[in-house]
Amino acid sequence: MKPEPGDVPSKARVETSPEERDWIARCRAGDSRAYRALVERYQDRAYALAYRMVRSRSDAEEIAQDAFIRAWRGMAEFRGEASFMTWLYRILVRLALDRSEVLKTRRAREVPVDGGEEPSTTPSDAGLSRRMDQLLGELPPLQRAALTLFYYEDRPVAEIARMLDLPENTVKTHMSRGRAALREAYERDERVIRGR
Amino acid sequence: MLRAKPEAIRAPAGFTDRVMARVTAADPRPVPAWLLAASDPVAAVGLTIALVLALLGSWWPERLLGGAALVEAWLWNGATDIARDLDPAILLTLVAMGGLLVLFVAWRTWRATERALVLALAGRRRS
Repeated sequence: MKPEPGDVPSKARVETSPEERDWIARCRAGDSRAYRALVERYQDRAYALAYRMVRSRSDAEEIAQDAFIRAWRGMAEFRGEASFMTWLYRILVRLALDRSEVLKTRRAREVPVDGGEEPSTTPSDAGLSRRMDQLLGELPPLQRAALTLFYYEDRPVAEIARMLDLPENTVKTHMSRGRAALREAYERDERVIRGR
Repeated sequence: MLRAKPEAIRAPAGFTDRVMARVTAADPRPVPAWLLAASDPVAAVGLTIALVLALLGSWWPERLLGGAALVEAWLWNGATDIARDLDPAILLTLVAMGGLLVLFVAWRTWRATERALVLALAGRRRS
């Protein structure tokens, strides 16, 4: 039932399974045990998305928890037009964007402390991926959200546009600017490394 | 560049339990509708009047009608006596204020009862 932690969903695989439809129907009738199954299925993805958006372990957990709580409270209004995951991501992304603004101010005043904010990762995870994560974390929140959803969560542009409440072309613009900023930051880092 | 295999980030241990603890805490308990409606003092007055009238009306209709006729006559006589001595403008103001008060009590009673029913139904649905 539970997906592998590193399992990235395919853009083609957005259909809700009959099992999940059953869980959702039971949740709408107030069955919290069915909701537990949904939380177990999506906890890693939700937490990973939140972490990539805010780059803080404690804030990511709080955002992911809040998203699940809001989804539970709003279950009566969930009509199943989109998949549960899309709906959950939409709630989560909005919470993360709100939190990003707060964190931006907070981080500007804080002295960075090494080693305290890295999530658990598999041993094979290495430099490039971590470096991309770091560079991604330096982008403005909307660019970071669009790129994270597209590349890490494999969501199509139309769905990202719905999650962010933006027109598709605006999402494409954010992605394009984000990619350009990433490329520039990456090349700048490379020059610094080679110059040593 | 971005197509590099992303780091596998896992939710921390106990995440589901913590979410479910909050879900259980957020779950509204069924609350009696009368208790919720009675928590609004204005609505409580309105409900009490409505309840007394309903009880009298169902158990003792002729007395209720007789009583209503007596009260009406008493009010009417009293009102006409007062009205005779009052300035028409003041009388009109008093009647308007009385009407507004009745409407206000009725509105608050309706709102409180409606809210209570919605919460009670939500509580029953989730329990």
